[in-house]
Amino acid sequence: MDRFLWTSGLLEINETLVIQQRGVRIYDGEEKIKFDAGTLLLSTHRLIWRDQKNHECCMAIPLSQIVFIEEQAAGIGKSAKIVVHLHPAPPNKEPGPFQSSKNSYIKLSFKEHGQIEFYRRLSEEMTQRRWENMPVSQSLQTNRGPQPGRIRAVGIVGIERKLEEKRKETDKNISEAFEDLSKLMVKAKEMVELSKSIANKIKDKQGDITEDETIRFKSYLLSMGIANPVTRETYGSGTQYHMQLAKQLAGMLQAPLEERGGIMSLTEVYCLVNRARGMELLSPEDLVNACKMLEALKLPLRLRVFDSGVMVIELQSHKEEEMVASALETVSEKGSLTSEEFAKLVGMSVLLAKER
Amino acid sequence: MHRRGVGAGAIAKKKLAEAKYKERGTVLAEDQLAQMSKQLDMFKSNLEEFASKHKQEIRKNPEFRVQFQDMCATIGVDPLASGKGFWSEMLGVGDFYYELGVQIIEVCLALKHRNGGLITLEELHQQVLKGRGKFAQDVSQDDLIRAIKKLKALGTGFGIIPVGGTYLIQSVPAELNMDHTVVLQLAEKNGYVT
Repeated sequence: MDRFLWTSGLLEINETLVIQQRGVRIYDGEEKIKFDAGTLLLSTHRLIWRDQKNHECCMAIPLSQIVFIEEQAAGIGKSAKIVVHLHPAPPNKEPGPFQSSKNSYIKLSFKEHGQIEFYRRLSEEMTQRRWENMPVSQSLQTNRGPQPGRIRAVGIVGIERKLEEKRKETDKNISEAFEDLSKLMVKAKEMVELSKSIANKIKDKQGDITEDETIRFKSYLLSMGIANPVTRETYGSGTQYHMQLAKQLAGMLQAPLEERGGIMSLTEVYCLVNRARGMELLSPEDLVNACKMLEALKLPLRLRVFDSGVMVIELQSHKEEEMVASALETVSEKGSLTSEEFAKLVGMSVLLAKER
Repeated sequence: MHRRGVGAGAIAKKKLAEAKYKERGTVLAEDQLAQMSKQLDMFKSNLEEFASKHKQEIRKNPEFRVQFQDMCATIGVDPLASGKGFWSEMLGVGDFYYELGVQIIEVCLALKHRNGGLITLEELHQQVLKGRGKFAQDVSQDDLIRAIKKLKALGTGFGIIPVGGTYLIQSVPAELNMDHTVVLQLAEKNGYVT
């Protein structure tokens, strides 16, 4: 911790900001010290830490002082950290927060995340060592404690101004984006109102509205992402899109299902299908809505939902054979069985047993 | 007699009026559908314009994504409901979250033998970021939560349990009953692993 020196935090000529992160705490070795909430800035030349509560408390370490860095993963209740191992302080080092320390490393704790990106950038800077090619004059590093330093050369002010402009530009972009977004949302809200009124009309007139019109309406809702208040028995909340999807799925899943014994969980299907598509992925709801239509469309797969809520896709054919085979076995073992006895034995409803 | 609304004649007249009204009602609905179609086209081009200016913002800025999602929720729109929705197609939000869903499932499956299907949001976040690699878009914890909420539709038993200041993510159903056991048995028999 004795490698840090006080600084004004202003960047020098030739020094550029690489990345910054709020919510960073510094440890001296393993020990917590009073610098517990600050903004950490990485420049091409230095690692700078500025206290969030007191902006005048600002310190830095030249990157040349770093030997190597390590990552420390987060745990429960612990933030992710970067461990920075340092060279011994040079004898002519400027004053800093600690005169001496028994540790030759510090830890940076990222309480508001951002550790991964920061580590990546810091590693990059350590590899590129840009500070060696762009020297900044030593005297400009000097500063007396936390007081703001004397007025620097014009270059520094110019750089600060540029940074400020860039910040304002980014802010402006964001606020413009928000403004546009708000206007868009107003229009979207109109669509929602309109769809509600149509939905009410449809509810009142079940039977007077044609099937076509209902299907059209449902596809409009799908485009806008509005929940469907009208469910028709034939196809549920499915649309033409889901019908097509169901047919595609039937084709796509035949082979994988056979490889896996004729049954797959919906989670597996979701991953399989989306990995294969690469782009224009299916939403979980798309998948479920399409699968609900499999049976209605008489496709060779079907969706099955267990009591526990687990959802699977299974091959129609496979299931029957298996069931019939096991039923036959059971019956021949016992000699003969009424459907009631069979039902009790196998644990299924009498109705199904009768079918078998 | 000047009493109105009474007698067979009046009733018949009323029925006729109702029928005519219903007919008109049908026509009204058609009109509204046509109107909706037109407005939808207009909205689509507004969205396209928005996307051309700000699509990057959504991709790069997790905070902006949060704002966007909240606004959608307020007006009753789910931009992630379908990959065929305008929002998905034009802003690319769909692919972002659906792919994230796949990555979350894969991480949970990979670590299930170690943690029994319970993982902290922090660890999930780290593992997902690791899997995505250096050059992928930044993903926030809010993004993960939204992706997981969508995954619930798959009936997989994904749960989000608040704990302390953070969340535990559960990726297996809490109780196993006979049906689930049957699935597992079938799985064992046929040699596929969940």
